[in-house]
Amino acid sequence: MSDAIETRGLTKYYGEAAGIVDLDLAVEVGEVFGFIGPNGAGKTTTIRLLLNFLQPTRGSGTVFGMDMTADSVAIRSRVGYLPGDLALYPSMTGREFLLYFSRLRGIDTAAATTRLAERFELDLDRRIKEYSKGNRQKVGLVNAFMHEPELLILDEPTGGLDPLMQQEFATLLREVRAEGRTVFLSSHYLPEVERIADRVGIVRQGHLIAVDTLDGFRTKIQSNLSVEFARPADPSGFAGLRGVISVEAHDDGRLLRLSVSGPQDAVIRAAADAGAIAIHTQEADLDDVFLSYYGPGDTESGSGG
Amino acid sequence: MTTAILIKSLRDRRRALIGNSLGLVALVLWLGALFPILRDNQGFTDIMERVPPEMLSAFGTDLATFLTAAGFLSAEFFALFAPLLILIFVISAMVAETATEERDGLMDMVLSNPVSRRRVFLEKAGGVAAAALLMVAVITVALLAANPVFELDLPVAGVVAAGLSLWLLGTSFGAVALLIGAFTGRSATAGGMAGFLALLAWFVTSFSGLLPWLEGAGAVSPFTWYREPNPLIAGFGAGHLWLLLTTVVLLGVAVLLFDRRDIATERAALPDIKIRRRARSRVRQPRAAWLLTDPFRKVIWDRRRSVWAWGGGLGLLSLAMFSAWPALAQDADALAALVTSMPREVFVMFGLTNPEAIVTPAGFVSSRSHQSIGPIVVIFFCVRGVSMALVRQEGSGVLDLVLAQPSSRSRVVASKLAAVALAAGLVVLIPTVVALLADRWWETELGIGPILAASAGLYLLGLFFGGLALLLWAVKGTSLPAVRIAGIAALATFLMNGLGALADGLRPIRLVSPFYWYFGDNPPLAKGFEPSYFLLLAGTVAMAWVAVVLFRRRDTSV
Repeated sequence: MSDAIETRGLTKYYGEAAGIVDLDLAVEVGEVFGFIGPNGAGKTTTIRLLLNFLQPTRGSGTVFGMDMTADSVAIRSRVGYLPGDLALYPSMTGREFLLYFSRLRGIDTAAATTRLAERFELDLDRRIKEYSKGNRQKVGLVNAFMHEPELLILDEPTGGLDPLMQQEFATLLREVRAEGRTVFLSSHYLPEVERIADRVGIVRQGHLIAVDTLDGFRTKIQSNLSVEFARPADPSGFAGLRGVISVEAHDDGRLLRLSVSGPQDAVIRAAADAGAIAIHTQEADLDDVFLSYYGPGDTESGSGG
Repeated sequence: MTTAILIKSLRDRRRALIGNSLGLVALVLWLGALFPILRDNQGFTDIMERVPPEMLSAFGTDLATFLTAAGFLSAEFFALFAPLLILIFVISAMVAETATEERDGLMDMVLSNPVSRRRVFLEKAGGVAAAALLMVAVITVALLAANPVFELDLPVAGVVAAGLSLWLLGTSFGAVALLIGAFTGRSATAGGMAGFLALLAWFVTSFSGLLPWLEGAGAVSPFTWYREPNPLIAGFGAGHLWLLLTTVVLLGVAVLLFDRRDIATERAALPDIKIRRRARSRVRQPRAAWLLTDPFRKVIWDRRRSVWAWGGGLGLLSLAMFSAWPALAQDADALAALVTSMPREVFVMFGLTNPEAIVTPAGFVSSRSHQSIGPIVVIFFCVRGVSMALVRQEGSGVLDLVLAQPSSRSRVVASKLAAVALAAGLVVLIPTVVALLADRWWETELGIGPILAASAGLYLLGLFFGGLALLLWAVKGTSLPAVRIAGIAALATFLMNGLGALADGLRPIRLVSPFYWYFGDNPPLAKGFEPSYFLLLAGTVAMAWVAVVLFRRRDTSV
């Protein structure tokens, strides 16, 4: 069975500015894939390429084994899409809009629409121009989910949603995954990705720089360990151990702070031998992962959308 | 598969469709009713005989033809007004459906559905074309109905052929707009270029008889295919085929271009080469940085194009009126005879309460530049200026951002208002300068004083209705259609002025009409600065003051 999304050397230049360069990406069927990177890194470019809004400069891609460009209509019938900056017809009501779009799909989604609207506590009978930002986003979400697509392509999906609705959205994504459907989730809001993604790809300045599971990332980057001792310990005994980047002694050596990358077994063994009474691990979250790939001050560079 | 896109495209046209159809039907019926009166009028025939044939050919007619109903309607309706309205309708609708939706990110949404680009594009264009066809059908039916009532003797096939020709002219330039939009993805470019090309084609066809160097170009102008030979008389001809072919070919190319192009939106902008060139220089000053320092200058900057367009238009109108006078002056007697023989009510209803004045240069020039088209343009400019600077900005939330700055509300409103007033002043200034020069050149001897006074009155009339729009907005914000109400008030008071002059019993209703304060019973160019102009000034100042006071304590809405 082919991947939900697969791209080979996918590249898009805008004139000389790079949108995305040589993207090799594989998203498996049934997973939630988080696509993260700062503004302008190439997330939206990638998504708009997948939907054939943009013509690739070179390279190719498939969705469910179908060619991104040639079979776009067939692909779009199996995809639900939520753009990063949602546009809706302002003079239509939410219901009219969803009815119009279900007709463009040629299917009846009335039941699903009502169910989703209830779930998101959305009043469908008001004009879109009267909706708050959050309610507009809900219309966009209902539109993306109403035809129960096999693949959801969501660009910054929770913008404007309150925490309760973000929770509801995460629950919905878990259900989607449980049904074996696939989610491609682009975001720079990391807690959202952390909550739900199985695997994460990090994109920077048009290049995909790393793909891994969240746990995989965690073990790759450094964690911070605080080790307490009953009596002062010698910091130099830890400095040379495998994975240790730095050691700081506090409290006359009764407390050592260590930065460790990779497996921590050597440190733990040495600490036990030296008479440690407690070890506190501050586990890396996605923010740390993200920041380890982007030095400070690097987050707003790059070009393309 | 459904035709949901086509139906939506057609449905979204319904308001414009109804408005345009009503206007065109009214015009057709008015012209139909007017023709028998003119035909039987010796003064009219005398004048028409002295009009240079070249001038008639500019309206696609000649004397013998013009004196038939078909020729008259062709010149008065099918040569200019009908194409003007249908072209504005079709071009703006085609652009709204395609390039504007693309810019707003709506094309992304529509295309995320399993429909091909080709289909989306063709259905959208088809909806607009269907709306235009409905509009043409309404006109055709109105003409066919007027035919026996006013004994116009129009051939039925001719009426249908003229209607279809009009429709095909609209679709041709609609396809031009689609093509440019499909190529560039920019709505302003698509609408502007298509409009410009339509104007150019009209010019080429109208003047190819007059200017020998235009003869070759005349043959390839869609306007030539549209009206030569005159379909109202000659029926179906090769012109229809050429227009149809133009539409089909341009549409075909547009679809092919759109099928392959990157969809651009403002929301996910495609950085183009221009942006990167700017990015190279480290600190980039925005265009006209000195103009963007406060709300006053910002509004002036935003209005700069309109000022040139509307002021320039009024200048041209002024020029045309002055230049036409010497020829008419030679036939002053015939003109006077025509005016006296025409039903007086026709003039009065349109604000010319002293029709005899039209045989003087002041009356003749005033009739268009100060008593009909001039006020329409200046009032429109002022009301729209208020709309763009305040009403729309409140609606889009930009006003909240401006008001978040540390300056008082009254200051923001007052400076925006002052900017609109200054811009409107420039719009009036351009035709005033033209009039001052033309007055010397054609020796109409109106004098500097009356010209300046007439312009001042025109300006104050425009500001008055701008002030009214401002007041309505200040009271209720965006929940009230301030702009539309101000427009309706202008139309209503204009008609009140005419009605009041028609019947003595209705005279009091004239007194409250700003148009009466301006027109009085004498052409503005024939008099100096009237005391009643102070009423316009006082009214404007009072409304603006109340508006500022009210707005200071009103909730803003988004």
